[in-house]
Amino acid sequence: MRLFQTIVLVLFLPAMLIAAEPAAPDGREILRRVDDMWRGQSSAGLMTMNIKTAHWERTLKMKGYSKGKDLSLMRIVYPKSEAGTGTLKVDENMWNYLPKTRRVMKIPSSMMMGSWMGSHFTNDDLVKESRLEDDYNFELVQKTGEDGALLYDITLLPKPEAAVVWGKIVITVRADTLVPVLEEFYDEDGELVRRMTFGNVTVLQDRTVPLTLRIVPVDKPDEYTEIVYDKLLFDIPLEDGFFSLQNLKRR
Amino acid sequence: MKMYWVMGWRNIWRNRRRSAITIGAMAFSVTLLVFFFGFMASWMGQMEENVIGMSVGDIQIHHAQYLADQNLYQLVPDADALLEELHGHGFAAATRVYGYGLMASDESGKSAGAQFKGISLANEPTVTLLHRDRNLLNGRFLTGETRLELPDTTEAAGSFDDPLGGDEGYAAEAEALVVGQVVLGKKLAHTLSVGPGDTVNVVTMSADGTMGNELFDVIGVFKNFSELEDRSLALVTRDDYQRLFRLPDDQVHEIAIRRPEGADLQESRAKIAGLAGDRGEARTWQEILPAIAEMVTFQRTIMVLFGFMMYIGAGLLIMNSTLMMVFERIREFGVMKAIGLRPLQILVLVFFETFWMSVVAGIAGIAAGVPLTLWVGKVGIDLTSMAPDGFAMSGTVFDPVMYARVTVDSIYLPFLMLLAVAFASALYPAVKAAVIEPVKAIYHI
Repeated sequence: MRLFQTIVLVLFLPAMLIAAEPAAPDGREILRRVDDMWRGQSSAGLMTMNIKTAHWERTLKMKGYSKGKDLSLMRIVYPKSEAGTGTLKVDENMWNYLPKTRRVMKIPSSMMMGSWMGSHFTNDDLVKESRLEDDYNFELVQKTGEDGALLYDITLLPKPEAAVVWGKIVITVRADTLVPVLEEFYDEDGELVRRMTFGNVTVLQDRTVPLTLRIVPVDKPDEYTEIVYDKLLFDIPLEDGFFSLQNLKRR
Repeated sequence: MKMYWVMGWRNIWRNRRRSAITIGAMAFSVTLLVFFFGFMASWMGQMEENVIGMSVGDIQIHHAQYLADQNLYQLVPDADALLEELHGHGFAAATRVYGYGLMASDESGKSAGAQFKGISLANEPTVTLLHRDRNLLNGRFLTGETRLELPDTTEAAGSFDDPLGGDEGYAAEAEALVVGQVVLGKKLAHTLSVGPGDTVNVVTMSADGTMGNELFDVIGVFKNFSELEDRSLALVTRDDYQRLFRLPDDQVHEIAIRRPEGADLQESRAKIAGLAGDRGEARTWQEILPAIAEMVTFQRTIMVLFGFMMYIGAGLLIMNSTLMMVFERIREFGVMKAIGLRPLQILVLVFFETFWMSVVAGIAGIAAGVPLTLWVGKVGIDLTSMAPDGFAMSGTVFDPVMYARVTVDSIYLPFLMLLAVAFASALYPAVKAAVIEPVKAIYHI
């Protein structure tokens, strides 16, 4: 009898050890890993942005480049009438280049909540990511999704002194692949304002990444902005000088 | 009856020094109040002019939801036809379009949000006084001219390899830009560090979802207006506005209307609402700016209340001096009663003395107050050192230089109020004199 118990124990011990192993991972660490996976050391992508509002619907194609957390450059390549329009982000500064008047315009901080290129993204969305870690406290909850996969719900609550626009952000990530599934943004009153969902998860250059993301404002459920990556490259050589006003103005 | 007039007049000069002091104090109060009322009148006038004359007009037509949610798409359709109908019924009317954009200056590198207002140069001056030169801090008003500018075509030096390939360049051939004119609110111009002669670059989201991007020449800067407009107003013509915002044809956000001289505001509103039908909702300026409407309605009550408070001092002085006079002449009143005057006759006599003093003081006070008001009306009281940008109340900004003006109210109201205060103050001494017992009075020491 005793022997039988020992055998059972030996057989099941590894399983029990494995089950006990993921001792509550740190939300901050997980987000950092999600971030790295998305961005790599540097990245470049060709994307299609579909925007639908109550009054119009349009499609833009653009190229986006990033290096580290602080440097990124976006440039519209289609439609022709707006091709060349670009946005450069260096740290927390943003500039738009406008090919029609051939001028660069710095986005003032008062316009950070304004729409970026007419989409449901705000200028702040492009700038803020590097500040999430500094401005928010992280809480992590594990749960099981509808398909049985283990999910992490990471809740970001602003630190008391942080000057932020959101009252709360909840990011849901698949535990196995660390692929984000859903991001929900709440205002200061705790009201859900918009929902960002990720889809078409694909393996690219040994990374598992979602190739579409879609943002829907909660008060206008018929409107959305959808980004589809047509091409995505990671860890490509890009000089810092690539992210300069000089290059932003290139035609 | 004549006796009262004569005796009243003669009696005030029996103690010249005391009467002179009392009359002097009363006259001083009247002068102050004449000036204060003139000052208030000018202030209220400026406020009405600022809101009705400069921007709102008497009545406005909007999309029913526009005032609650100033959205680019809340439009009044079929605007030209509606404008024709309004003109046909004798109303002066002007269409306006609004939109928000980002404005930046090349020279200073600064940028700021701007509220664009597109007006019709033909119709706007029939409704508002926006176009007057005295509204401008510097520069001039819109003339509707445009110029062409060929963009800078020198290529940026140096280039980088594009890891995504397809490096054939993006933009189309350089096209000549149509450069329109803009008049800016004072604080907006200050924020951007621009003035007449500078060019600003504007980016907007157009109604069709594309990006609007145009250059504008700053040709003028407005003086004080309202707080919001000082901070963000960018006034352009409707044609220039249209290149930025591409609204659907023949649709506007607002039609501002002036009713014909003498026409009733509510009746005009009802008539205009009938003309507009379901194209938009007509509201009077009082419905659009309830806070200011209330202020204008209650201004007279407020002025009178304030006036009485200023008169409290004068009233106490009148009471004191009349009481002194009654005690001084107590034997005289005793004798008068002894020879058969009834108490009411004594009361009337004292009142006549007070009346004469008030008349003299009123004439002297008005004689001093009117020139003072006229003088301040001409030179103004300059508060620039205290409030260089003027000061705001209920969203209206007032000039830092304050003026005053003489109105009918500002002359007769202080005088009527003085009479009321004087009679009220003299009542107690007069009753005291009237009810006196002759024997006690005559032996009074």
